[in-house]
Amino acid sequence: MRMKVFITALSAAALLAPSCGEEERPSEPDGANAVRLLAVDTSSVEGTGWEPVSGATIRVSSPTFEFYKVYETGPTGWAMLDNLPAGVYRISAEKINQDENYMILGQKELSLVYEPHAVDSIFMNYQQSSPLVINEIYYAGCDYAKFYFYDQFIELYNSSSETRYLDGYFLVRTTQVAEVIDPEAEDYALGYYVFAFPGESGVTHDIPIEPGEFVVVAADAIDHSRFGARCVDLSGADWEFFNSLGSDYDNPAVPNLLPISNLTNDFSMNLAHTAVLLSDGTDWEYGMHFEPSVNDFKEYVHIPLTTILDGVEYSSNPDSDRYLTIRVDAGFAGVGMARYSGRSVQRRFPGLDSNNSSFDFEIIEPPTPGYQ
Amino acid sequence: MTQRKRSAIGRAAAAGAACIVLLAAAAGNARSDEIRVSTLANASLALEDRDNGINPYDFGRNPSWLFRDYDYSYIRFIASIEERSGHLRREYDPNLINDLYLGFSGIKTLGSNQVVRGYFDYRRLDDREVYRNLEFNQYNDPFYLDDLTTGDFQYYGPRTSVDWALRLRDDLYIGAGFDYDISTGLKQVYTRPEIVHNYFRGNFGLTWLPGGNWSLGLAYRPTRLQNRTEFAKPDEGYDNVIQGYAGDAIYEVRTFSSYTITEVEHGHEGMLQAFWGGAGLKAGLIARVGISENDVKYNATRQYPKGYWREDLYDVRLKARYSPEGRSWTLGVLGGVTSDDGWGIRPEYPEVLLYDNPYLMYTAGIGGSWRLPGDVTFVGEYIMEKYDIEVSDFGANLFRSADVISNIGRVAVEKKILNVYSFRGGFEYVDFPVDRWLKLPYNIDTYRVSGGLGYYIGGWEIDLHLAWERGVHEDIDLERQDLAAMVWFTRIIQDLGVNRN
Repeated sequence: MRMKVFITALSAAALLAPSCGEEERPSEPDGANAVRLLAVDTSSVEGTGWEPVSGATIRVSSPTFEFYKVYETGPTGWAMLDNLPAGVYRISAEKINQDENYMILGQKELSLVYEPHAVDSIFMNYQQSSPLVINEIYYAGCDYAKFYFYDQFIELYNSSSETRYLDGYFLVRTTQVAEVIDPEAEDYALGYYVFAFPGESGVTHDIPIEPGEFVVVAADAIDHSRFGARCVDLSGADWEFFNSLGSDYDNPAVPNLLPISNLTNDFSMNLAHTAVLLSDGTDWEYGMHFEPSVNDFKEYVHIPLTTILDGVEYSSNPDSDRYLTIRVDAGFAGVGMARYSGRSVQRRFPGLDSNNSSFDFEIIEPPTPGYQ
Repeated sequence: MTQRKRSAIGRAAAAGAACIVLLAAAAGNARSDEIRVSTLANASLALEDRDNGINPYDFGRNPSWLFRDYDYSYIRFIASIEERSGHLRREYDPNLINDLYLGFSGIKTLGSNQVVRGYFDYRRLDDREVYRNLEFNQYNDPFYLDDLTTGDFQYYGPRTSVDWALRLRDDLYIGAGFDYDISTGLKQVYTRPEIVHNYFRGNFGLTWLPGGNWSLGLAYRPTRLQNRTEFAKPDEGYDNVIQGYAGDAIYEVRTFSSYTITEVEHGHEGMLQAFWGGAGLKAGLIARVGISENDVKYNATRQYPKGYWREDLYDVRLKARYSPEGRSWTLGVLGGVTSDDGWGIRPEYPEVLLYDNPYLMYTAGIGGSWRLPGDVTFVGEYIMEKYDIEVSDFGANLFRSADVISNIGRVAVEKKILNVYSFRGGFEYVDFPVDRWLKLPYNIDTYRVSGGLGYYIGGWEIDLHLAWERGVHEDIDLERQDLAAMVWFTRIIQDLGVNRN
């Protein structure tokens, strides 16, 4: 009798043990999402009224893990996106008509967990690119041992068919302040380093940029390759950021952009995450924001979104907090790029601008200042 | 309890309770005890040995039975070296493993009602040519960590275990013990992570002798395994770039200068034991139920979960040995069934199953030993293991399954001279070693030859063990070899005259 009780008690305890656990076993499998997607042109470029777009390239990527698949829509405009693991996806549709020199683009974001029979659509529009774009940004630096990142540069490109003028334009490095501004709730971007081309925007016309021309703005316009194998020769840069309030090097042969913001540093970009803006330099104002590290308010520059010709946000990690509203840039360039790697981010072809840097940019090595 | 058992159980906790990687461990040295069984081709079914009895301690490591398992006190010094190498391995296994350790163990009584047994060693584990892997054990769950380089890891650290038993009454015993390993390893090339491996397992047991030849036991074992991979700023001049995998297809790239990735596994195991110890027949039945949960967490400025892996274990095992009185032979049989159901999710998507890995193994074996004139003992056995394994990586849409039979044959012989010298040799053949992830090629054959000798004089026992193993595949021109050597110096302190075999 005692033995029976003993065995019964132990067996019951043993059988109960596996029922304890942190998580419940789900019944539905991962990787089973399938989306039947219709690409629709809403701009009437390919017909009259809304038309399904055949032969459109559908690119599917994820901001949270490495995923990249390319599909093509069939004759009726449908594409089947299948075997998608649970996750957030950025979907872009593009169709480029090189003969007619136009592009229709569409983008959307999908969050999928378990939807094996989803049906969705993506609206495509004629893409009005900014005539002036930031075509390449080199921010990573080139030598970890020396902490060398002074060879940073920004490359601008005139993708229009007309000569444009940079007089009075701003190049801005934005940031996120400690009090955390919701970029979607504000109509301005926060400028931290703000440097201006000489002249007055829309008034003077002394700094032309011709159609198809690249303009390189260097942190310091010298030959940095002397300081490291991966460092960039910027002795041929067109412009140079210069701050006379600091110990910044000035190449007298290269004209300068001068600071608007009240900082003593040279223009520099974070090696992993920030956003860079090209603004027409109008309607800006100073704004004070609380900074806990100094227990005081600190001065920033508010750049109205309406004055921004192009903005690019980059981040090495895909789940970083956003600095820039998706009205300016919907995705990150440079995901996975290491600091001091000697690599840069560049548009996949000059002037491609869908306002989604995840789509528009690719990582390249070595950087290509002044050319594609 | 033997350190070999302890280590095997530790690996099982780390790699999943039934993750069998025979190529990685088959020719391995016996640790601390069981050197004789290991030299005799691991033929354990019918071989009478003081560390291979059919009792709650030797068969089920119930620490409370240590009191009755005790027959004499000793202190033992151990040296062991083993080297495995070759390309017939899984992708992330080291191409070469050099495992060296020095240690000691001992057993003694504490008064008239207690026995304690201890083991300690210090180990250097050299994993060479490790392709991308950045974990102490890449195959303990489907959440992997990689970089882009092939490099060497060197681990250093102690391992220890203690078992203690107390007689409460003549028919009731309790026991407790623990195993503890800690090691620190460094990868010698970029990304140069430091891996800190930390394993603890408690062991609590109870044995009750209700009468007749019965003994009933209960054991409970909590386990905690932590592997922490830390990255610091490398010397190469750029950031660390690693890839964190969830299954074989979903991965994210992380770029940083310093970072920590931790996996913590908690497990609980309950065991019910029933043994019959008659004069001719000895039999034991063990039923185990266990659960282990492994949380994989990334940590830069805040820790967040990236993987969850769980295994539910059910294991029933029967072992019996029959030695008829007056006869010179012994018959042994083994039977068992193991179910180890593993599954995993990505914690950010708990609604869907990322990975499913049900594992079912049936075991049946029969063996015999014969004591021939002239102090010669011959041992032979055959074990059949039938596996039914499924691997469903839903995230990658990769599916594998195996319904295979693994055959294990062992023959060995021992010759004793004047009860002073022992000469031992054995041969073991394994057809189709199985890996629960099904990432080894199908149908590998392994051949293991072992030999050794024992010398007993003046209160000292000296045992030497040598083994060589070769794993081959009939279609793939690759192989893996294993060379192992171990020596024991055992000082008998208090000999109670019990047969030591």
